[in-house]
Amino acid sequence: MTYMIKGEAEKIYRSIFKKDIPEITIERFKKISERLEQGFQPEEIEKHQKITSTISDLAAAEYTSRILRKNPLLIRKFQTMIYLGECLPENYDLFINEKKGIIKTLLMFAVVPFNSVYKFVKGFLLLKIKI
Amino acid sequence: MKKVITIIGGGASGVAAALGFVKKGIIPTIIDVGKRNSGNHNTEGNLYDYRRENDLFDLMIGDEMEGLSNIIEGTNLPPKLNNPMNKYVTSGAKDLSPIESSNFNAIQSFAAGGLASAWGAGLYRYNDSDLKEVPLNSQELEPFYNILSKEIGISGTNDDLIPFFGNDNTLLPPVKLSKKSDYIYKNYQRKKNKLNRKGIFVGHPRMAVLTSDLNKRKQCDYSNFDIWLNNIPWIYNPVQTLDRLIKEKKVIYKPGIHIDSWKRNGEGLIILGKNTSDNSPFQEKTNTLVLAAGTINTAKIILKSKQDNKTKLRIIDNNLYQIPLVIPAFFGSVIEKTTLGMTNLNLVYNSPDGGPTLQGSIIELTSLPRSVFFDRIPVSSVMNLNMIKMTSPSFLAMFLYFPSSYRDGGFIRLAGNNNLQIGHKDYFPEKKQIRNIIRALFSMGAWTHPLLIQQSKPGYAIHYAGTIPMKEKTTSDYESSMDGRLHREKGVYVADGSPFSEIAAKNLSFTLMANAMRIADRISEKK
Repeated sequence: MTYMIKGEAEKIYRSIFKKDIPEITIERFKKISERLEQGFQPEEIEKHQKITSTISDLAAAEYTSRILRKNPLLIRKFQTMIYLGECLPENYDLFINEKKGIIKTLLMFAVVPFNSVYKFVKGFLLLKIKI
Repeated sequence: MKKVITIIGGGASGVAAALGFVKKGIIPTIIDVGKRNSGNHNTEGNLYDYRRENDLFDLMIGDEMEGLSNIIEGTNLPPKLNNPMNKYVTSGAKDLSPIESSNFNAIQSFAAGGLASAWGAGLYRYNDSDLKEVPLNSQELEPFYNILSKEIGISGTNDDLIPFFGNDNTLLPPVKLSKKSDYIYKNYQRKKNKLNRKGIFVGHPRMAVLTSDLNKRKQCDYSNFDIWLNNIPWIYNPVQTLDRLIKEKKVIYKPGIHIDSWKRNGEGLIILGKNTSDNSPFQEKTNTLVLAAGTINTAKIILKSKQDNKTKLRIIDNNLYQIPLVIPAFFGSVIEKTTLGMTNLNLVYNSPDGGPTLQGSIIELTSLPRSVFFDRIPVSSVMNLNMIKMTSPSFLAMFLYFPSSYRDGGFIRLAGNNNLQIGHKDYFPEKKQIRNIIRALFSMGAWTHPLLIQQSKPGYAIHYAGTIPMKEKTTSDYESSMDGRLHREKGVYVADGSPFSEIAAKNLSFTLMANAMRIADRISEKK
């Protein structure tokens, strides 16, 4: 069980922050996971574990789930991981903008719709095929 | 017979009532559960300097995961009540006063200072049109507003909002606007005539935030810690007054006691409750009981004392819409680190068609964790993170309040198991007025979309009132007189939000404090 949560934490953290998860965040995530899972039925937890262990692009699965309002445990674990990531000073630059970047922002706006459609379709198919 | 004054509750109204008695040379006793935080976080300087160097876990989430309770437990707490340092403000409420409700977001506090320990700090005077359904006029409250204003230190200015907030010569200079708020305000000034014709008025808020030092309290340093820490010196908390009165031996303060009822004892009263440390029974004699335990808890004490499990008292709260705002001119900008992360501007919509007057608080969001935006931005996680970084410096939010009266209120009753039951119908969606406000905001450079606007669940505004309406001539056991006395109950007075059967689209706190002080003044005058 502990090993599974560790693996899940690593996978979720990497899919959001694109880097390895620090040990302290794994410990924090474990505690939160235990609390979170108390509010879910065993079959929901089982489904969640299947998603996190079999789907490679968890970010796509989470995004599709968020849009379709499905798999609430996955969505909540992503939400908590965002908070846990924000706590760390090493992630300061991922959250806080300290350089003016209007061009970068406009480019991002141009990319976002394509990325969103791609991630949604990918997540939808992965959830359909693998779960 | 010597007057023995006992106030129940050490929140905004209890402390204001105590101040009223103290001004008359009377030493009241305050009985309070009086929870306090176990120590503030040791932080100095600016939030953003702090977070660059330090792990935020203790400040933002906490060992008990308090900061994530909305995600983990599905609670619906506003950010200021949803962090480790302020968790004590609502802690214990579920055990001390359980509430059964599926459609009312009831939030209670048993902290010293009450819910005002984590309030939004907007303090507004009610004018006569705000008091239409209450047999009070603003002139009766005026002297008490003035005394409290000096005690609290209210910042603001007499600007275009005078018709709604009144002319106040005791104000400290207004809070410094953030760059985005200043941008909106300048756009408003340029288009003022046109906007005013459409019923839109914008101005500085009246805030219990010091902009110059007062009573040994320091002025605001715009460090952005506003929602994170407790009892910040520049944000008024009734505890500041309470502690001063205790220190000067002007009140007798008895914390750790939860009062649940009173009974008659000849000409006097015996108040009954328990010590919260060991649940042992508590009782004390008095002859003047001032109930200031907060609208919900005061209702419970009254219903319990009358052993009434049938009566449904009415309860009201402001209908509140949360409107996210984006200022495109600030896309990709650097986050502003020195701001007040609370209300920066107020917008009043005084519909030319004669509809109700609405008020919006435009709130700077620089104090919030960036993670709160994650589930509001409908893109995938990695893109989401980039969006948060590059666009959140352009975010503001507006809390739009509607007035409330019994027409759209709910009920509160004491069930057989001694739990409170609160029922409330859903508010009617107010699309037309909101559409007009969105258009006005757009013309001032602030964008939003109707799909992003959230109508809050009843109770979220935490402006509860109306359970024991004030009447010129009382006829029911659940009405209070002009001097706050409960009908047919000699020596029992109600001095919190309970007597207000109508609330304007602005925070009631200042008015309930002024009224509590007025009631204390009236009681003191009685022989």
